[in-house]
Amino acid sequence: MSDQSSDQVPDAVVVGLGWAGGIMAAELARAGMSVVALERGPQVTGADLADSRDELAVRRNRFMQDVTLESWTLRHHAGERALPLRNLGAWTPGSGVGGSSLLYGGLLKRFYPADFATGAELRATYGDRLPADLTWGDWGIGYEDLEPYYQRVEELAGVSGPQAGPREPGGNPFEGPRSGPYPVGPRVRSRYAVFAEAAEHRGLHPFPVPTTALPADFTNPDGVRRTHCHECGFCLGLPCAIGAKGEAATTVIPTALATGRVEVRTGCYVVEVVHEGDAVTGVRYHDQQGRLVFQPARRVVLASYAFGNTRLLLLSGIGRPYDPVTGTGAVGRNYSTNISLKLSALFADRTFDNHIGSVDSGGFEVDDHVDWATAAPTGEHVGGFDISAGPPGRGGVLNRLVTPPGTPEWGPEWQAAVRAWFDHDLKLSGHGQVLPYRQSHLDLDPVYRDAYGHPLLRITFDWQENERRLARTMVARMRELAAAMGADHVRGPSGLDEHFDTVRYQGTHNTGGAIMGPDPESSVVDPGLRSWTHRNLWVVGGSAIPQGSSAGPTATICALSLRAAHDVLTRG
Amino acid sequence: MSLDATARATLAALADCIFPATEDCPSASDLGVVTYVERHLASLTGRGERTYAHPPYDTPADSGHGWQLSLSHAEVYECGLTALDAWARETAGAAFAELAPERRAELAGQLADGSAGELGGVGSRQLFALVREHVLEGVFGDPRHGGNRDGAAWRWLGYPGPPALATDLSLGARA
Repeated sequence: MSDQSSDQVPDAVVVGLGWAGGIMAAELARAGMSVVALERGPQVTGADLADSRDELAVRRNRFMQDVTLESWTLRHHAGERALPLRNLGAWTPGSGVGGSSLLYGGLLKRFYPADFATGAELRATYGDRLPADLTWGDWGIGYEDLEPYYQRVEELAGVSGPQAGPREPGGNPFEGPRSGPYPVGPRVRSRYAVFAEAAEHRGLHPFPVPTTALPADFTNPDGVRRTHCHECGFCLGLPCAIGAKGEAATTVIPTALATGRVEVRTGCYVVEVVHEGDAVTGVRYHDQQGRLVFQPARRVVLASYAFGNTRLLLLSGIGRPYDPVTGTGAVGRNYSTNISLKLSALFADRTFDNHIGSVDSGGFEVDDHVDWATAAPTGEHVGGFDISAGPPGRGGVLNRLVTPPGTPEWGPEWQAAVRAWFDHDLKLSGHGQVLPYRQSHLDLDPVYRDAYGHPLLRITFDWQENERRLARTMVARMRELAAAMGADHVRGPSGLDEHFDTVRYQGTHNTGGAIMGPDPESSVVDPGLRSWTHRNLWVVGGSAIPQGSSAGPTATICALSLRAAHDVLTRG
Repeated sequence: MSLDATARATLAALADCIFPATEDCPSASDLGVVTYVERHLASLTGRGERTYAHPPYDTPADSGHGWQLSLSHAEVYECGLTALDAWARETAGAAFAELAPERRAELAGQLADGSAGELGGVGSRQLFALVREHVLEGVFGDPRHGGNRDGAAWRWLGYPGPPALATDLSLGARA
């Protein structure tokens, strides 16, 4: 084991090169800083994607975190023995230059103004309706503080969305105020209008789903050009072969590299942030040969996945680990995620060409229920949800063999139904909010280790009664929409599983563990995402989000990263 | 990895219970599913080399923990297909592949609902679910992996197949 140092000390080392790391590297380097970016995965090039329109290749997790290097363990409650995720399932963090943005569906949705409410505001409004063990975290900023950064993220990534404002026909009346329109107009597909019409009929407010898959060629404000989407449908679980999806690798990372001040090192697995007193001095990582290398730096930016950031802090002894019994400490608290449930509405007399088009592009969404009052008119739960319909963006056919409920799972009858109903299905997606609870937390596993012998991260989490109710309500609303469309059958769950399931894909929307906030006792980073305890350390990414929204966290991760870069450049 | 002749015949017979021949589509085995499965079992995933393998292996106390067996897919097939055949001989008096199609389907039903018990270290329900997943992959996956011969299952379904990647494209940001 060698411990070698580079001769030159960079202004910053960035750990992880997804959206968060890519944005930090680009912004810091553009301001003149030298940056070393460490990424555990490989560089992904166009040549790697020549044969990528192959759903079996996607299923083999080519661009996802390698669990033989590092997995996670999960237990449903503190009394249970945690077991490792032996394979990827519930979530699929990316691995490679571009991180999870290589694999996502290309949706960049802002959080809503109400998501930034303080705990005091929430208690004043909802009082006893809030679960007793809720650990709602204050952000220390409001929606209006993040809005300019959301706007810039949408311009960098080329988000196409409704051009109508919130109060105009076709706009989303539930979104927060915007300083400008989406930079690209929406794609329209008549085949999904059936959903919009049914939603309107039910008094809801459908609008075109905003997505980064480009309807037309686009050059972002930094001069990075992307080609338009070719509609191949291979979006989820793999990088876009032609770069039409807005990924870190096709937007901010080219900007970072163009400065000439960013050195990207791939195959580098960081295992420790080295610190002395109240300052960090660099990081230690295993290189591709497995050697342990010390990389000194004037500043450290942790920008890996929510789980990775939290684990690195715990492995390094930075910050006070959260104790769910006493409620004290901060590192590992407020783990949260999204509820993601899908239904298939089957129509005997309609087909949808579901193999054409990127995730939800040309589809429609209703945000009426992101408002807690609309979501639960009789107060049966707290939390919001959204419902959308559009192309699945999962190439091939294996994920689209949908049959009416009650059909056998194999044999001649199943086979005939598979063929008869192929492409007669409209995918409805529901995304629900998951609140943070005292017991939902992250710490180091006492038993299971990574490939180098370092403890894995342990997740203590299960669905709580509030979320079970929210999910049932959400599915009921989705089924009402399917009925209003005239669906002949609806296939899908009626609510959440008995326990959180690590096998079925739930979404890679994990958040928390190193949350931001105004109070150093209950948060790990300040509202600029700078460590409270180590003033030249920033912890950027999903880990900073105090609690999830119904919307996925990606746009918020990006906006917070831009804001954190501003913090580095102005304060340190 | 290649299966022995008996295991191959057992797998082909079970695959054809799941996806039999129809008037206008060959059966799973005629589409090349056995080749697909053998290639998969020889791959990193099939050999378990993409699986987190650190001990201890424990039986989950509740649902939601997924695969917690130390066996790779290759080992499950190797032991499972042999045990399945032995069980068929015991239950129905002949090797699985030798039984009449109706009898095979009955036995496949007992595998699928778990009533066949444990076969080669795995519950029969789990074994059947794994085989079913791989049969579907072999039938409907890209023909380059050895199944879905000539894209016949895609044609039968009405799926045109993935569009080819234009090679004369300027790929913009993805160089």
